[in-house]
Amino acid sequence: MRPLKIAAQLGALALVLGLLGLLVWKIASDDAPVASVGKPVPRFDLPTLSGDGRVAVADHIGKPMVINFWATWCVPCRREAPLLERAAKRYDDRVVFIGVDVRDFNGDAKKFVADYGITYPIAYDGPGKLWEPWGITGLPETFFVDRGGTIVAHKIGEISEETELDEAIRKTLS
Amino acid sequence: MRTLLALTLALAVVPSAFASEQHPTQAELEGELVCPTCKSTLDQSNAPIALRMKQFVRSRIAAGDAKSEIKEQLVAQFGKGVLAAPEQRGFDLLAWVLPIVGLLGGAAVLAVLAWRWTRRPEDELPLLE
Repeated sequence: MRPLKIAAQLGALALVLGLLGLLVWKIASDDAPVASVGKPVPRFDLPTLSGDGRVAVADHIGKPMVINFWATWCVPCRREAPLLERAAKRYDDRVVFIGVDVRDFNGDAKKFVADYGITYPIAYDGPGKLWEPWGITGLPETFFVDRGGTIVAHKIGEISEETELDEAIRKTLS
Repeated sequence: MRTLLALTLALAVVPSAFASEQHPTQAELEGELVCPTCKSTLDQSNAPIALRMKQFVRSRIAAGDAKSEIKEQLVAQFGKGVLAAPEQRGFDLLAWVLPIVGLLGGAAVLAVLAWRWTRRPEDELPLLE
């Protein structure tokens, strides 16, 4: 009976230590770095909205990037879309624009892209896998990344002025 | 008598479950689906994406889709996180089974302990000559 009792006590101890370990892991992972100014851009590799390819951040390191998170149900995203598209055309070849459609219906997003004539690549993240790792708080959110892959500017909410967008892009070019 | 009661219950429950699967209502689906941005069920949310999902559910019910088909379409778009309760199949079945196993295990441990506690004083009584 005694070895059985010791085994049961060791089992209970292992269970408690295991649960404690899980708690520590959870707390540590909650504090994991998110995308913010001065930090390296987190990598992602997502399917395109059209489903015929992939959009990977790693493929564009070495070039300045503008990464814009949006969704069709976000009203400010609709106002911002033409501004971003115009900028993508103006900075063509010098800056890579990437859109990330997040927590959205794929069909709605395709219509949105067609309606606003968006030509830059759009990654589709329907389940919102990037939401927490990138520390997204709401839509739209835009990250500006320099050639070295460091985030140099971050806009929470709508970019409403072209000058504001140009100023952030200049930081990626310098 | 017990068999008759079980049969009656089964006959009452199975057709309503079948009807719910084949002809789901807006209200029941809104209670079983979660808004991806606010993490509450659709019936508790007025977030823009929740309103769009309600509209989607309405259109699929009108098109005659079964409940599981509507859920599958939403899972394909937003992932399993839109389901308020885990699926009763595959790995997700564990979420349903483990609490029952835990309860039964706990009850078994309690039963063994209770049996031992009630037996011990008797075992330890000194033998009377």
